[in-house]
Amino acid sequence: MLEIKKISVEAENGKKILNDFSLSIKNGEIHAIMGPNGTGKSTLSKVLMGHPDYLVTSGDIFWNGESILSLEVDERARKGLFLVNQNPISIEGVTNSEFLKTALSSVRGKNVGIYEFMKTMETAMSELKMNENFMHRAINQDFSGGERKKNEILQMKVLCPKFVIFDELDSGLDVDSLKVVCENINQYLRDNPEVSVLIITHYTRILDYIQPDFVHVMKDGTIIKSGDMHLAKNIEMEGYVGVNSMDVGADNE
Amino acid sequence: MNKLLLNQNQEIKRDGFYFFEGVENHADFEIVVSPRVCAHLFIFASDIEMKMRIVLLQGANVSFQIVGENLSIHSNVILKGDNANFHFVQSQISKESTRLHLEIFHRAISTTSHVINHIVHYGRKKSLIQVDIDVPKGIKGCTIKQDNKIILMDDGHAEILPNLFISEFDSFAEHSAYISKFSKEDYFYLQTRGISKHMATNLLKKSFLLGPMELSFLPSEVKANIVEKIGR
Repeated sequence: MLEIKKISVEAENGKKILNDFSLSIKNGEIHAIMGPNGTGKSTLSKVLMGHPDYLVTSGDIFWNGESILSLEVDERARKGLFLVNQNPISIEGVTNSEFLKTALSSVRGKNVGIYEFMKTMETAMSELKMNENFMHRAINQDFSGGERKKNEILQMKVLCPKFVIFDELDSGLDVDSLKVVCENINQYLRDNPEVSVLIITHYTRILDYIQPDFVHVMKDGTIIKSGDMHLAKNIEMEGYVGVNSMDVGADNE
Repeated sequence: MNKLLLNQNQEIKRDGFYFFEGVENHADFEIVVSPRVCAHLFIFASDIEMKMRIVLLQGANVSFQIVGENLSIHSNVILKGDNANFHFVQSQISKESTRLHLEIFHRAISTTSHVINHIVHYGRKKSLIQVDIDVPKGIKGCTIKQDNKIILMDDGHAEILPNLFISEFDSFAEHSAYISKFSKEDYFYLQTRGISKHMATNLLKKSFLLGPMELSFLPSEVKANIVEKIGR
């Protein structure tokens, strides 16, 4: 279970981005966060993973009852947290296979055999309809936007996290790729029902594929309204301007 | 795979792969590459000062790779014959004060020089890369490329002088100089997959230094030795 308790976060330049933000996500739950640009949604995803550019000035974050604020990025990842990046970067000279094998060995705490690793990779790549030669290419180098997102989901399938943050997964994905990616995610969730999910998105398109249990609207660094898919549909029709006066969902106290 | 002695003047008359041996503290030698010969030269060394002169005759095609630790290199390269091509890759870990000074003289038409220098520098001493490329007027159709990068692991001092002395308009040239640390976002990305900072540093170091190199022709034990030394 992930529990975020009244965290306030500042950027390196001192600008306050998250403001007394709280959210609880139980095992197996899917939560979606929506909101206008600049409200701190992507910052939240980076703060959860421990990005060094952000300072938590108050509050705490608990994973299965244990505070993770003092943990390094890789320690949080080894605890089971995983971020699907909005804009995955490329790293020249490090092949996908070397990177992922190193990551899998780190997460499992022991060296993973090459045969076992190759089998796992090949199965996952086939399910994502990815070309086999991606394994031998540098991380995301010369990958299209859609291929980079598929690579993120490939990593998720191989590393088997317990809490997954999807930061605008649908941006840069065409209709067919989105369908393949979401099918793989849903299969992963069916195979691992205890896994909890946080979807950060502007649009409801992805929520049609991965159905959330809860939808939250963020504004000025905090959640102002919570509800279910009806809230998301209302926002899609009416926008964020009148969200406070919508009669779906509950206002955040 | 042919083996050559490092401290001996050589004339290379046949196509092939040449691996230099007999590394001592100091090396001083000349290599002449015969016309239309395609030669791949490779040096793996540590804690050595090298002074070398390389002459490429007409149509000679040379790929020269140097990898190691604490290397100070002063090299003169003369592209003496038309259509000669020189491709140079130097990758090293520097923990002392190191200096790389490469001078390339295009003295014939349609010659190409492509230089890649990557250094990972530790400690507080100075690391210097200076590449001087000279194309006088009348030497037409030359292509010149320089890519120089130094990654600072500590608060050391580094300098890159990527000089182009080109007096001929019919030339194509590009150069770059980059001094920084490994990117914070690269670290974050690798660490979000459970990779520790130490291991992430090794991965980034290995990719930075060995990425531009072609190692497939080396004997496997030499390759393993290089990867092990660079990855530490």
